[in-house]
Amino acid sequence: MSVSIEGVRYSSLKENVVPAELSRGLRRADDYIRLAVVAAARVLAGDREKGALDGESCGLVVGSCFSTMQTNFEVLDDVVSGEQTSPTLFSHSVFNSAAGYIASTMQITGAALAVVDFSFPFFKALQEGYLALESGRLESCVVLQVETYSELLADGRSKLASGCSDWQPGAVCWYLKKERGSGNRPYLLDGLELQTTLADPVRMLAREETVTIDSTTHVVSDPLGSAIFLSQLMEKQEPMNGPVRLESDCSRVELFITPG
Amino acid sequence: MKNNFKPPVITGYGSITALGGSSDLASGNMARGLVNNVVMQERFFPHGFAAPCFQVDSLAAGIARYGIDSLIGPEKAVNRTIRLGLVAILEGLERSGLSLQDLRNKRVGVALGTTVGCTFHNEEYYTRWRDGENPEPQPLYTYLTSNLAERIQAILGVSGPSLVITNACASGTDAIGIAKTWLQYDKCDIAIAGGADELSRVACHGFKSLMLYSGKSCTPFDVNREGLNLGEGAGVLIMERQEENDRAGRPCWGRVCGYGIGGDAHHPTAPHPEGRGLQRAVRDALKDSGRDANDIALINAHGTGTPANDRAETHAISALGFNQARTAVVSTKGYTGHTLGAAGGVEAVYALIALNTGEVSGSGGCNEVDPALEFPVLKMSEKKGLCSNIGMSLSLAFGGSNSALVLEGRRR
Repeated sequence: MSVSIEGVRYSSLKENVVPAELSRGLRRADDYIRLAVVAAARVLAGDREKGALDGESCGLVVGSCFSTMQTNFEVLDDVVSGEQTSPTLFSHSVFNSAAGYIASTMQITGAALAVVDFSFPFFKALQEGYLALESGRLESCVVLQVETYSELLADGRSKLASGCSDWQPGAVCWYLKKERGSGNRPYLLDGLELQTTLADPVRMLAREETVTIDSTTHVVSDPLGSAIFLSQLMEKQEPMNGPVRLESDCSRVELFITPG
Repeated sequence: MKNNFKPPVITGYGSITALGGSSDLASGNMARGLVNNVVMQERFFPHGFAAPCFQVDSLAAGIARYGIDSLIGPEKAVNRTIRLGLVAILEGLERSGLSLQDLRNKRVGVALGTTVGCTFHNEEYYTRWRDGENPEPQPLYTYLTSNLAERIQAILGVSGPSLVITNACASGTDAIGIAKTWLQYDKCDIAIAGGADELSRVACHGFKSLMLYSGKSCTPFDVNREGLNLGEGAGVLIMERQEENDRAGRPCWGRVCGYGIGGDAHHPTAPHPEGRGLQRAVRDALKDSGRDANDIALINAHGTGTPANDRAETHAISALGFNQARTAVVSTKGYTGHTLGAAGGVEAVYALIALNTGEVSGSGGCNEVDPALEFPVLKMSEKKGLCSNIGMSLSLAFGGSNSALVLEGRRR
């Protein structure tokens, strides 16, 4: 089955500006939630402006390597310090907090899932979104990967996998539809196959993924890198002939994407 | 869409909770009305507050019974959540008659829900790091190798699709639903699905801060309920397609007939007062199963014991038109505590056992059903014979996520 990739968006935390219409709802949110909600709002902007977003038949899947790690440490700070835990902070530390915020903000009620994986979380989320469309449970689905990491993780990386470039917090988001919409030359996702296995921790922190398209291989070293790279190609409307292969230490993804 | 897909067979199931280190033990203890919780103080809660937690005291026995330490290997640290999950999985495999060698010739999908099990909450490491020290990195290694599904696949020596679902308290139910879809779309031959979670003092502090934690034993659906108690555990189903089950001659304990998910789009931590998303999830699960509300003999409700959850849930059940005479509604959290990411898995197992025995025990801790609830609930002192072998297990979660399963017991 082919599903239409109607939109792609990506943003780093530095570039993430909360639009005025979202600022009230996000005033207490952490970076993880803000990145997620803004990415989803942008990818859905066209349909929302046209009143064409049917929240009941739309779902969302949020994938992440580390999810709300920094917020978890802020809660842990309260706990180990004997301070009163902030209820807001605790609720934001739950791994599906961003999925809940997106659902509330966009009135998406079809499904909201959060998944974690150290290797290819975006593509695991994409597979579940694809299957939800293929099974007929949903007509459209927003698929995201969001990463904010943490200072502790950055310090751990510097010690265990020294010399590696810094990871940039950010989000990447695709909007899938069962039926092709009116988007400008959307791509079609004809299927994907994943094989992920547990990676060695140091190699996972050092991170080296390859993206091979049309016999050309690109190397990325950021957990968001592969998904952003593919998003950039689609944004530029680059052709993709044949399967896209992603490989990391001991995991592989094969995507079948064709121009629509 | 595979139109001729038959509901996957449950060829094995396993669980471990404070109620019992195996599903049979838990079932017997529930029938006897055992509530095995322990009051915790500063170790788990803020100063000056003490409340019950449902801690598993049979984990070491389960680890020994199934030789889990030798499976893990001598130098590889794993967290408690993984150990709880392994005990439940190995019980399920034993019940199914599947050996690890059998699994290694198949595509084995592992879909597991968790909340605490995927966080890095090593307090000693964190505090030493925060204080500018250079702690030994072992806890960080352990965290980075603790992806619940992939680590369990590695320990069992199997391969196939894997997914860790972190949908808060609905994670285990969603994991079973996702595994059903994997089987339907031929992503795997066997699916191991459910949830596992360990007790965490961070979660205890968090639920206390939200004023959702009861200082007494939790009493779901009771007129005097004050909130939830946390627990820990794991519950899993071993599932396969009907054709594979027929061919291999393995047991059939029941089927996963339907799955539904729906969102409240309402509030980060409180359910929609009318259970809007839950109603959607239940409707979709019934549609997926080809059944309707009149077919349902049992609902194992989420039933946390918080005033808002129990009100919203019974409102939704009432609004969906379930038959009060036919459908028994219970919560098992009074026996296990709220096991968070494990709850959906544990409660699917307990629902299946009740469907197979044809009788359900009342809701642990519930002595006087809240008359304001919109659907009658079985209180603790009651038991009810079930009018069919079809039931549901429901989950509500933070983030307004709700999910539902339709389960069929084996034919009686």
